[in-house]
Amino acid sequence: MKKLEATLNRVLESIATLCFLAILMIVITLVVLRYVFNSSITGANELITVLFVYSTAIGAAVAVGKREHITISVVAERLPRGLRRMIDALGLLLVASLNGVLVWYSIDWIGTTGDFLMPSTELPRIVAQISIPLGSGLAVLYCVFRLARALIGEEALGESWTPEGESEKAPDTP
Amino acid sequence: MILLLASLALFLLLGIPVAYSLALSSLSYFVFIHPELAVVLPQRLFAGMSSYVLIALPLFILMGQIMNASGITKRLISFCLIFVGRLSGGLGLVNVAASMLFGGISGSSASDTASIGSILIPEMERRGYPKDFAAGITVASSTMGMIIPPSIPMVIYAVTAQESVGRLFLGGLVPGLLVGTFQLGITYWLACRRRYPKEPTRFSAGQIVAESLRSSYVLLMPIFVVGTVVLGVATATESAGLGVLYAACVGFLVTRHLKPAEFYRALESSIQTSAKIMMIIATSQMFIWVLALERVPETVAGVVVSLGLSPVVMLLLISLIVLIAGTFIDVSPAILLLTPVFLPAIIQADVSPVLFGVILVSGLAVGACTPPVGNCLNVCSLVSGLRIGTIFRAAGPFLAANVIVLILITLFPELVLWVPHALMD
Repeated sequence: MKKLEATLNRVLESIATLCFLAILMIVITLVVLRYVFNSSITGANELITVLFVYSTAIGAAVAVGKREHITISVVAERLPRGLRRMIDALGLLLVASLNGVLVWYSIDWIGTTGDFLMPSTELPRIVAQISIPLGSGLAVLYCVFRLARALIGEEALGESWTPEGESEKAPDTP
Repeated sequence: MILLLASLALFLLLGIPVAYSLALSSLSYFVFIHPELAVVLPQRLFAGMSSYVLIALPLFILMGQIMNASGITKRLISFCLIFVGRLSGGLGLVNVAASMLFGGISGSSASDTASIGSILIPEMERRGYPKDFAAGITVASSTMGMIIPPSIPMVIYAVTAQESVGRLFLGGLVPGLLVGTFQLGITYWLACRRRYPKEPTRFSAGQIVAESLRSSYVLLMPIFVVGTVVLGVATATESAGLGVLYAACVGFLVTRHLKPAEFYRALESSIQTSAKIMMIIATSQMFIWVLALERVPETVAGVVVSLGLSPVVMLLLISLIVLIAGTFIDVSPAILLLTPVFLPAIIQADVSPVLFGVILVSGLAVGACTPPVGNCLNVCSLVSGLRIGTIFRAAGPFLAANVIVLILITLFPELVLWVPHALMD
C-alpha cells in the first residue's frame, strides 16, 4: 500500500508540476507577445487560471497524503499518545467526510452549470469545475490510505501534521 | 456565529489542518443553521482557487527558490561585508543588511532565515559571537522579507482586500527599510557594548564599484520586479513570471549554479507550497462568505465606530490584536481571517486600506518570530540547533525595532503612503 501511495504521489506531483510549468511558459509568452509582437492569445489568461485550479486541487490532495498541510499543533502535540491517535483518526475521518460532501455537492453544481461556456476559451465550464471533485476525491482516497495503513500496522497514527508554517520553511522552500 | 467560531477553534485545537478546519466549520454552520445553502460549498471553493492575481504566489515562491539555488546568498553577504563588515559586530550588521536585500528577492521570511542563517550563524559562532545572538539576529532580521517588496503576504492581502499589489509593494518599502535601519543600530550598539569583532575588510571606492558590479544582477532584480508592477508594464502575475525568467537566466547563465534537475525540483516544491496556501485561501473564502452572511464584518465595524475611537487609537488597537493573533496563527491564514473582519471598520474610519495592509503584514511578521507558533523560529531552530525559547529571547531586542516601526507607521501614515502616492498617483 505504501508503494501504491508513493506512486500516486509521484504521478500527481508530476501533473501539478507540469501544470505549473505550462502556467509559467504561458505567462512569459503573453508578456513577450504583447511587447515584442503587439499581439496576444485569446483565452490564455482563462487557460492559466484553469491550470492553476488543477495544480492547487491536486497539490492540496497530495499534501493530505504527505501530512504537509499547515496545522496548529500546539495543543494536539501535548495530549497523551492514545488520545492523540484517536484524535488523529477522527481528524482524518472529518477531512474525508468534508471532501466526500464536496464531491457530492459538486455533482449537482456541475450538472446545473457545467455546460455553460467560459467567456474567452469557450470551453464548457465542466473542464474547470471537475477539478474540485477530482481534488476532493483524491483527498478522500489519501485519508482512506492513511487509515488503512494504520489498521494494517504500516503507519502509526497520532503523529502531528506539519506544524503551522513548517511547510514553508525548509531551506529549499520559501 | 458562535457555532462557527467555536467549531473553528475546536477543529484547529484538534490539530486538523487550517484549510480543512475553515471548511469544516463552514460545513457545520450549513448543516445546523442553513442546510439549504450547503450546495454553495464547491462553488465557493472553486471561486477561491480561480484567482488570476494569485497565480503570482507560486511564481514569486519559485523566483526566490531559483535565486537561492543560484547561489546569491553568498554574493549578497560579500556585498554587504564591504559596507558594514569593518564596524564592531561586522557579521551581525552583515546579517541584517543581507536580509534587507534578500527580502527584496525572495518575498518570504522563512526563506531568508534558512538561506542566511545556514551560512552566517556558523560563521558568526566561529568568529566568537554567542550562538543565540547570531540566531536571534537572523530570525528578527528575516521579518523584512515580508515587508520589503516584493512580498508574498502583501500579494495575499491585496487579493483579499482587492487593493493594488503595486501600492502595497511600495507601501512596505519605507517601513521595511526603517526596520532594517533600527536593527542595524541595535546590532551596532550591542556589538560595541559586548566588544564583538570587526571583519578585516577594506572600504574603498574601487572595492565598492567592483563589488557592486559583481552583485548588480542580484541588486537589479527587486527593482526590475517591483518596477514592472508599479510602472504598469506588467501585472503582478506577469511580473512574477518575468522575475522567474530573470532568476533562471541568472542561475543558468550568470552564476551557472542552477541545474535543470534543481529547476524542476524548485517548480515542484513551489507549486506544492502554493497549493497548501491556496487551499487555505480557498476555504477561507467559504468561511468569509459565512461571516458575511452573518454580517460579522458590519457588526465589528459598527462596534468599532460606536466606540468613537480616533483612527490612530483604532489602528493601535488593531495592531495589538494583530500582534497577539500573530503569535498563534501563521501569516497567510491570519491575513485571510483578519482582513475581512477589520477592513469595513478601516474603510468607515476613512483609513487607507494600503496602510492597514502594511500594518497587518508588519505586525504578523513579528508573530512569525514569536512562540508558540513562529514559522521563522521553527526554521531558525532547525538551522541553528538551538531551542525556540533561547532564540526568541535573543531576538527580543531586534524585534523591538519592528514594534517601534509598527507604532511609527500607525502614528505617521505618510511613512507608508508617501511612496505609493509619489510614484503611482
